[in-house]
Parts: sequence; structure tokens; C-alpha cells
Amino acid sequence: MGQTSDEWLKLEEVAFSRGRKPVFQNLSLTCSERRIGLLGDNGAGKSTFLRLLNGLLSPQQGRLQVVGLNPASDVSEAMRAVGFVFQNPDHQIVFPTVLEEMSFGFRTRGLTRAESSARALEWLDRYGCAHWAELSVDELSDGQRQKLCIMSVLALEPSVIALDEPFSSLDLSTRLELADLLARAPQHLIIASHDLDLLQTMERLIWLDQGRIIADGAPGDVVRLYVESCRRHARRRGMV
Amino acid sequence: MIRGYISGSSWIHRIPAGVKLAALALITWALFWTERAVTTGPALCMALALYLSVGRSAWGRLRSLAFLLPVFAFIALLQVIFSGPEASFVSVSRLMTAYLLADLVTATTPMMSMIDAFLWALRPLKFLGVQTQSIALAFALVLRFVPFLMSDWERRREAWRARGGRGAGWVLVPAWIADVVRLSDRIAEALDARGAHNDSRSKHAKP
Repeated sequence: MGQTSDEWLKLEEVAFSRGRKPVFQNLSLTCSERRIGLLGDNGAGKSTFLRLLNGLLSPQQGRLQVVGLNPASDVSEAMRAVGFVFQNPDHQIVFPTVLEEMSFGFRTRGLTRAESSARALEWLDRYGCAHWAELSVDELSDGQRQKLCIMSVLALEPSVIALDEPFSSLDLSTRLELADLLARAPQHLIIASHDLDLLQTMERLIWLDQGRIIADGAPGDVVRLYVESCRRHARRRGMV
Repeated sequence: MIRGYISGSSWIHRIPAGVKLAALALITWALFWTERAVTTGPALCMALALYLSVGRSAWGRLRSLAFLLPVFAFIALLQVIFSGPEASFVSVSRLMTAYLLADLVTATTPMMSMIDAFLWALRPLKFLGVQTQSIALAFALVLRFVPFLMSDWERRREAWRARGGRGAGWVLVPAWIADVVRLSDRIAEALDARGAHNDSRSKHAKP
């Protein structure tokens, strides 16, 4: 499957089902933008889409290529190339202190304990969080824990970062801080979210519904179509 | 023993993890061989003194152990009835000492140090083909998530009481277990995403 230098993501007629329920059927897409948003109701397939990118799930049909890798066959490489930030930091954090948590990723890459700790400290310092190193993760707020998860992923320097509703339970100031942190990241970002303000900052926005692409383009246009559609649905249900 | 690490630099923090774990194993083993209050009583005092020597953060943690007092009181009562007062004191002081020392080790030892000590101790198993890294990771996960699950249970029970529920809340157990299973799946997925499994295939999330 050909991929030009700018195209980092390419899907060709990808199909994926959970049991008998199809999530995607013949999904085709090419992306060259560095900031991509995924929009859609719950169950639209956003999270599944992200999990296909790093090999957590594999398509049953079709072809998928992410930064030149096929996540279905090059799982280990895809997991290194695509960092993943989950919605709930408590499901991602494994170790009791910040330094140990940051170090864990380096340990999985084969570094020694001393090397991992040194690299982790260096990255914490880079984000102005060196004073967190010895703190217990339980002492951090929800936003700080999510920041730790994002820093842990950034520190491993993947080519792509996939974020699955990363700010869903955070207050506005924390959201803005983390959005700024991500905006400065050199990686390709792909974010599934319900946060329309965040999605408006993307270069391209894809609206998914029941595994199909409903709209794809400039964020302002896609958000407007999505909001109009939501209003129509709400009116039909007699809620507005 | 299953509670979090207290960051600090006390003298106990500075003792190597392997030494602390070995001392804990030895003292606990010795405690269960003694039947005399003149031995278990001072041992309990020593454990308390060690605990308090860590500093203020440990004192707060000690207060939070109050929830165990009814359990110890119940054991003491049974022992008084069936074996007499001295046997009761020996049993309870022995248990309290073992618990305090185990908690002290957890509170003052970073998880990575503990894992390294375990990996060292498990080295012989490597020759039998056992994946010692996985055992060490499982150990880390237990230490990390048992307190999380306990606080989740407390939150659930609080919500139940706020809505008029009474009693111990046993009716909440099935839903809580379902949540634990869901949580374990998410954690496994997060570990896969972070490359914790060295094989080339995600273990849990296949379609």
C-alpha cells in the first residue's frame, strides 16, 4: 500500500466487528494533517478507531498503515510508534510514585533502573514537574494525574499520540493547560473527544456515526453540522 | 500491608528493600514461634517505635489503622474465652506487630526497589522458564490497585447509604465485582499500550 511522505495514516476498506455487531465496514481514509480530531456520539466507533492504530485491536478486513507500519502485523513496533492516553488516568497509572510511573515506560524499553529514573527526572524537569518526582500519585489531583499520563507518553517520543477523551472529567483551567502541553508536542495527534473547544483547535475533524464518516473537513464546518444534527435529534425527542 | 508508599528520607527509607523484606520475613517467622507475652509485648512496642520514627506522615497513617481495632478486639475476645488472657495477648500482639512491620515496609520502600528485590529473590525460577518479570509486575499491580478498589468500595457504599441503604451493603458486591473485572480489562489494555508485554500480540482485546 503506497503512502506518500505526508500521509501518516491510511485506511483502505477496513472492517471491524465486536461479536456480530459491525463497528466499521469498508472504512477508507487518508490523513496527512498533524492534528486530527474524532467527533461522534458514544458508541460511534471513536475509541475502537484509536485502538486499531496501535494494534490493541486488529481489523478483520482491509488494510491499515500508520507511519509506515501495519499495526495488525507489527504490533510491538506500532505500540512504540503510537503512544496512547486513556480517558481515566487511574486505569493507566501502575506505580505509586510519580518517578516510578514515569520510569516504567523506559524500563519496558530495556533501560536499567538508574537510566530510567534519570530519563524520567529529565522529562519531569522539562515540564516543570521535577518537584513531583517523589510524590505519591494519590497526592495528585485528577488533572495532575492526567498530565502525568500525557508526560509519560511524551517522554517515550512516539511518532503519533492517540488520546481517547483525555479531558472528560477535568476542569477548564486544567483542560487549557493540557491542551497547551499537547499543542507544543511535535508528534502527530489524534484525539477522540466530546470537547468541541478542543476539537476546534485541530487541523481536521472527522465526525463518526455508527462506524461511518458523516463529515470530514475543517473543524468549524464539522462542528456546526454536528451541533445542528444533535439539535434536530433533541427536538425530535422533545427535549428542546 | 496493602497501602501506599510515603515519600520521605527517614533512616528506614534508606535501608535497601531486600534487607527490609528479609528482616520482615525473619521477624514474622520468629513471632509465630513464640508463645510468651514477655516476647510479643516488647516486639509490639518496638514495631510501634519504628513506625513512629518515620515521622509525622507515619503518625497519620497509624491513626488510620483504627479501623482494624474491632477485628483485633474480636480475636482477643475469642482467645480469652477459649485459651485465656495471656494467649489472647500473645495472639493479638503478634498479629499487630506483623501488620505494623509489613505496613512499615510498604510505606518506606519504593515499588521499583521492591520489584528489584523480588526479581533478585525469584532468580532461581528463571532457570525453570518462569517469567519472573510478570510475577513482579503482578505484585506491583496488587499493591497499586487494592487500595484503589477499597476506596472504590467505600465510595459505592457511601452513595448507597446516601440513598437510604442500610447495613453492610452486601447487595453491592455483585456490581462491585463486575466493576473490578471491567477495571482489570482496562488496566491490561493500558499495560499493553505501554509495551509491558514483550510478545507481539495484545493479550486481551482481540475482537
